Amino acid sequence: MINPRQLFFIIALTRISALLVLLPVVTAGNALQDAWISVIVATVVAILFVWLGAYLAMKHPGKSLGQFSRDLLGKTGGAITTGLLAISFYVLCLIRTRLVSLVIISHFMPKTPGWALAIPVLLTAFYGAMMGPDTVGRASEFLFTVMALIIVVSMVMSYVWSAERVAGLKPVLSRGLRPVFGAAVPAAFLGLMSGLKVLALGRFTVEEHKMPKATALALLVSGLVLLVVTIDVLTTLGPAQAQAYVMPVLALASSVFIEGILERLDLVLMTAWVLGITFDVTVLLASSSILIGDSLGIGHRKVAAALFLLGVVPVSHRFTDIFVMRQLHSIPVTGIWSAAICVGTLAPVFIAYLIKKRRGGS
Amino acid sequence: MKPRRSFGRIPRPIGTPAEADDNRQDQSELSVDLDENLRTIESILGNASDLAVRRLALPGEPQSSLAVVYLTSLVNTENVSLTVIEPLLSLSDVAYRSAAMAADPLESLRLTLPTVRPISTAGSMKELIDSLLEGKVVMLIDGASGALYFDALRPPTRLFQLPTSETTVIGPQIGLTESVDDNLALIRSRLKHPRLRVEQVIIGRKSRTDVRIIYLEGIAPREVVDELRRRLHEIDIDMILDPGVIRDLITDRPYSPFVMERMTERPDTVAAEVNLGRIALLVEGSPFAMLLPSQFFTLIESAEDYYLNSLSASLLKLLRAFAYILSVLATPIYVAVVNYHFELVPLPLLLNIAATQEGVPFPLPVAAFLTEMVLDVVREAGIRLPRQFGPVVSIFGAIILGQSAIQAGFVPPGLIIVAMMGTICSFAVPRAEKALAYRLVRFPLLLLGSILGFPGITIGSVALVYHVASLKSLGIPYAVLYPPGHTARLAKKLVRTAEHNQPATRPLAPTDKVRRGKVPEPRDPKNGD
Repeated sequence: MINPRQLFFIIALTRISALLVLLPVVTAGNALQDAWISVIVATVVAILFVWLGAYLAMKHPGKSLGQFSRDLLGKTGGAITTGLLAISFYVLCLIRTRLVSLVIISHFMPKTPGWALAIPVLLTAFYGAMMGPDTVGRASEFLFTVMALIIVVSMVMSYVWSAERVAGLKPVLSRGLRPVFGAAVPAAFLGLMSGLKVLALGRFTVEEHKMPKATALALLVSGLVLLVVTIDVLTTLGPAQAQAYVMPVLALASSVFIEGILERLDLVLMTAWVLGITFDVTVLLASSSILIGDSLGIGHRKVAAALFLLGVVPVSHRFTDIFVMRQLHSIPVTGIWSAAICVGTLAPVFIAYLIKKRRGGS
Repeated sequence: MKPRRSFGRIPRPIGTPAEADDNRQDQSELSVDLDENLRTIESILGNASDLAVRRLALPGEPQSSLAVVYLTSLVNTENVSLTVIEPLLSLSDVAYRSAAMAADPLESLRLTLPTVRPISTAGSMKELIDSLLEGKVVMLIDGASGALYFDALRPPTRLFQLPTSETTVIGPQIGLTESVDDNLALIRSRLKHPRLRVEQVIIGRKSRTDVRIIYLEGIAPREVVDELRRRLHEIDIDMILDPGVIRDLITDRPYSPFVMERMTERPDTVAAEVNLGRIALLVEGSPFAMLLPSQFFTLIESAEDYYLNSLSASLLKLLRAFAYILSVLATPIYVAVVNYHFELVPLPLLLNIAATQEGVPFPLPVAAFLTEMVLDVVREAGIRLPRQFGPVVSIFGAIILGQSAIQAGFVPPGLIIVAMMGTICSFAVPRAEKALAYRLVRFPLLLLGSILGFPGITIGSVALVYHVASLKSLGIPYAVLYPPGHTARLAKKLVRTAEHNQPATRPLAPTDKVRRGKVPEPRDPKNGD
């Protein structure tokens, strides 16, 4: 079983990892100097929707979405709503695996074949998923601590606060709210997907009444971290540079070096990111296999094994340009995806729950 | 609870002639004929040279005889003489008859004998033989279909010595010995509490080894004690010589390189850990106690931490944690940096490293593997060799061999420095038995660092974290950084403040009242304020 503190670590760590490298570019691309406002909007929106998911998980202790959606919507309805979320987790798991391999290859090890990195990441995730949610929960304590230390040190080293740099954030909302909200969509989607893992992991969480608080707090804390990162990128590189770079955070970190001691801070930051993203891939694979397993009545380890074998080819076949990955995180793609999750999974299950409650059900 | 897997059991051959004999022996009742019983005993023990049989006549009944049987190698013969032979010889028939309230001669004898040890009754030949082999004195009476026995064991033992594997500069300088009773006395003298429980389990069909389970009732979790008891009772093995054998049979994950049971030869450590809710296992014939369940953070704890100044103890713990990380990661990181991420290091250092790489025939990863393996071999040889030769091997291996390898250009000097640093760091970790895990863990990380650089080491480290996080010791998670209900536990693991002379919380019994060492308010003796 995992406790609410571990749930907090899992969600916070996976959200920070998912967004750390991508967030400044996906937000600055649309909102320019207002990207930091997009981060705040995205965090608030993600908290609202994820709280809904955590509330449902809290009301169905010891059950995952795969189980309680069947109780609420029947076998077919439950399978559709659960399947949508489970497949989303799985697709994101494969995308992240490819993304981490592409970033490493393009930035640090250009001669290494992509599959040589993608397969070990997926294999490690598979191992973690096979060990079960207890293991994932305990591992999150160690990994969150390590990653938090590295990020804090990296940010402190790369950040120099000054009035001139803050000027890079002005003028505020000069282009209106539309680009700000637009830029918030990918960030909100990634936050939503991190937080909704509670619908799978809630089955293994003790003290279920603390789940909504732990989940919301995780999104809030990770939102603060990402806000600092975004402001740091915007004030150091400027909005134009931030959107021009493929990975602005790494570009920012590579501009920092302490002579005689450390020449490449980006490598240190990248190490933390690989650590976090490997964990994120693990949680996505585990959540997906729990949901599918519960929905079909199969052990989640068997499902994890099947998903791993299915995923080997997609993550290692034909490594294309990294810009394809950016397109997968664009506003249209993430917008439609978010809407599908909200309308296809969250809304029907929540409405069914309300109807059942009104009729005097559980 | 999930039924435990049956791995680790040593299969016992079924249906062998020896086992058939054992079974027959199990079933045979004692005869009323004394001579027949004695013949059977001699036959089963193969006319053992240390088997002593002393025949006496019962007081006032010259026609009825008594036999005192024991193994001279195991029994304190002086004790036998004082408590059995002499009293029986000097006993008048009146006194004997007055004790014989019951018609049973065995009961009469039991009431008569002046031994302080409890006297038990054996009904079968199997029980009688087992008693003899456990160092008990057996008394058989002609015409009685049973036997009496009491403990008179004189185990071969040695004087208390320094704990050689856990030396400390300050603190008690006494180690456990091979005698389970002496060890128990050492523990009881440090933990004089009425709730200290000592349970005996006999394990080993042939060795009949005396194993003691020691715990504090109400503090050690009952379900953990029950689980340990169950696992111990289920062991089916011929021989137990050391707690290490038991460890392999009761561990949750026998194929993990991480040792989840802590071994110690310090009675103060046993007492301190039992006080924290752990369970100690003592095994007759071994100077080591096994502490269960163990946790990952005990890796950086030393017995000396209790006796040092709080600041020094805390700094030493941090230093050991750093040494552990370095011992695992030093060589893999060096190989990754030189092979893939050379831009990470400052230019002057990079030029130095590049210069030393010049002319080395092997690729760096191969040289690193060879160096690590040679260092492990030297280390292993230094431990296994007699004490007089150990330092010679270490000096030869580390200095002469290392220097020659550098001069011959086989390995770069930088690699030797890093590998040696990692090896020395592994010695800074107090748990000697866990050093094996470091060596095994280093090689896969070195492989990943050689192939995939930093990302490879990171991915390997995450897999390692998963492995450690999945481990359980007697069902208790082996690695928990933030146990529920104790926000500042990590800090307490690393830092020992003066107010917390005792660890502030019991890792296994968090609900138990915490007894913190209270620090009296300092006052100036001259002013009285």
